[in-house]
Amino acid sequence: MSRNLQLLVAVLALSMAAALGVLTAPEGHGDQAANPDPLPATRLEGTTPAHWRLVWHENPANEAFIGWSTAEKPVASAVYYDDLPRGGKIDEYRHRQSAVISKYTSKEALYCSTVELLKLKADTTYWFVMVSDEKASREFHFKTAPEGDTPFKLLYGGDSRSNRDSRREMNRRLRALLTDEPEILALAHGGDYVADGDKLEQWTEWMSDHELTVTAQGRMLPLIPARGNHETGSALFDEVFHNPGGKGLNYYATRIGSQFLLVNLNTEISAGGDQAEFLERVLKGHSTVRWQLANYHRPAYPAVKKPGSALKYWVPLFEKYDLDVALESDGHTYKRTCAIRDGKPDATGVTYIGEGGLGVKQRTPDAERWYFKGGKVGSSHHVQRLTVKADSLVIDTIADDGKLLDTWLAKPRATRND
Amino acid sequence: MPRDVVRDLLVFTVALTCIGTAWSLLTASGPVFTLLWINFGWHEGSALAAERAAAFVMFVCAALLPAVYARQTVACVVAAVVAGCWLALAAVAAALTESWQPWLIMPAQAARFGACFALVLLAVNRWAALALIVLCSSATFAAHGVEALLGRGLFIDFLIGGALRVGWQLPQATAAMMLFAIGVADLACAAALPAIARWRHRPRVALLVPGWMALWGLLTALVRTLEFGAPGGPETLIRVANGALPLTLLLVWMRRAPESQ
Ligand SMILES: [Fe+2]
Repeated sequence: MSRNLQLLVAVLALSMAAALGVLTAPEGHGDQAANPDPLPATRLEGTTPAHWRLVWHENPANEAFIGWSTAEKPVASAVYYDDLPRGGKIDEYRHRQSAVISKYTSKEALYCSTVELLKLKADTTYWFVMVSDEKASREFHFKTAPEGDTPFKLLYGGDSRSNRDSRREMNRRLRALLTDEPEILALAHGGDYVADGDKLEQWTEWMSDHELTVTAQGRMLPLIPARGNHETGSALFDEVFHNPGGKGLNYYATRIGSQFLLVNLNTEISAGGDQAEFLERVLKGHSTVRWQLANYHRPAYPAVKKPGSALKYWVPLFEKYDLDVALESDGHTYKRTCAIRDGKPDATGVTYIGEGGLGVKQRTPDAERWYFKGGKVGSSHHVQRLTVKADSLVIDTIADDGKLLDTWLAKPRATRND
Repeated sequence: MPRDVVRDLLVFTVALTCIGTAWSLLTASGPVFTLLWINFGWHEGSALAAERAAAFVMFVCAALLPAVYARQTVACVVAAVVAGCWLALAAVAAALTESWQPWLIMPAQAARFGACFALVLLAVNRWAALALIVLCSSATFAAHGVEALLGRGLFIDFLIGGALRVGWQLPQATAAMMLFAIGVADLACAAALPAIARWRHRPRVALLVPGWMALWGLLTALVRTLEFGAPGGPETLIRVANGALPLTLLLVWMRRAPESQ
């Protein structure tokens, strides 16, 4: 064969293959419509507290962490708080807690004030003001978690990166839910807050947008954070969320009331070592707690991608200790699997719900995967609302426009009282 | 056509890499999709189509490569160039979309696209092809060495998973120490390889370096399948070059070593 003929044959074969690929590719979704709303966030100037966030770690009945940013380094920052509203009059608050002031890990000069509120009363509304030097925020409030077997609601969502308009739209949805349903206590976030967790400007945008979750009455939505792959190794993650579970580790168990356990795991470090031991210890130690859930980023039963290390190291423990639900993110779709045990459908198994819809562009899920038979998948920005009661756990998937996309109900496991 | 161990190994390696890449793209989207869809704002379907097209092209590349044995070198060169360009593009896309140490991605993946370009160069300049193989092998080992020194969680799990396979419950702290040692070894190999390549009177003992790199490169590729089962299959194939390139050097230098001594 002459060289030219060879070349022609090779190019033709490659072109035909490419055309075949294009013709057989899935259809997919278009981009989301942009939201032209102006930014309502607090301006970063001087020592005015901006970027407010309230974070829960292990013990939300008695502890909360409040963080904010200031453009200039304050001499002193503090939170003034009380279990009664004081209308922002600083002198009237009965408690004051000083903040630790640090600079965010970045070339940019932006300062972080963090306050640990400890020894709080359970199931109590606290009213507070953030103060940096003589600049004070308006008055906010939040509710601590209950201690007993009280019904409550919790939100779950992940992947708020890379699409700011949609993220803000979802934050407004979170605010609407918090306004309409005061039983909502917090938002568990499954990770991927920003596209690049090392870039402060992206966190700055995220934290500004997070202010949108505050209700008109000033109620703040506490956040229970998990680390995503876009925050792998990010020091800023720990600075923004006050080292949940320990700096760089970020695995910890959150107890809400006496009968609800949320194990937050970190898929971006070793899954099989200390973390698997921690998971086993926690699940074993809480075997009689009625509702047991996990929150982590990379899915074991993904709707789009390949499974992460959770499948090998954590799923056997979930099944051994009868976890109810694993909340997963990262896939940019919504999904609910059938109950799974030993790699097949089993009514006694674990249900996997997610999978990241707090703003990132949504993908078309692979609905043909075996674990979606009897489950549900779809493509829409979304948040999950967990309604936790003594006799049922209901998880609703709610779209950005408020529409109900899916609802799922679980009854308490008989094995819990063993 | 006379046997040439470098060409044989490179053709085999690039063909396996192409199959692994195609297999991977057909089972889950890759970094090029992410770049086009998230960063460039493409329609999901268009970005998927680009990767799907690449998958089919990679299969054809794998099929075209053995054409070299029928003296159809042009077809082989075209296939290697196309495969190399896609793999390099995928590395660039990963570097632009991953947030953890993105600067390590190009060197970490150098062996896979370097193998393709070495095959192209081989038809023109054998010395340059071997030099590229040395460079890419070193880059890949150096990047993995740095990742190991940084204590990458996935690598720790590979050690824990591997130990479990032989019934050893490896504590994470021990795995982390082992990984550190592996990182040091990787970096030492990466530094030694170019020096050995330039050595005029290369002693046989120096061949332990490419020998170890070949063994370690292939083992760490295989670990993906051992750890993840079938879904790790394409990941193993994509990484065959990590061991195959040092193996090529070992075989070439083994032949030359007696002459040099
Ligand atoms: Fe992710």
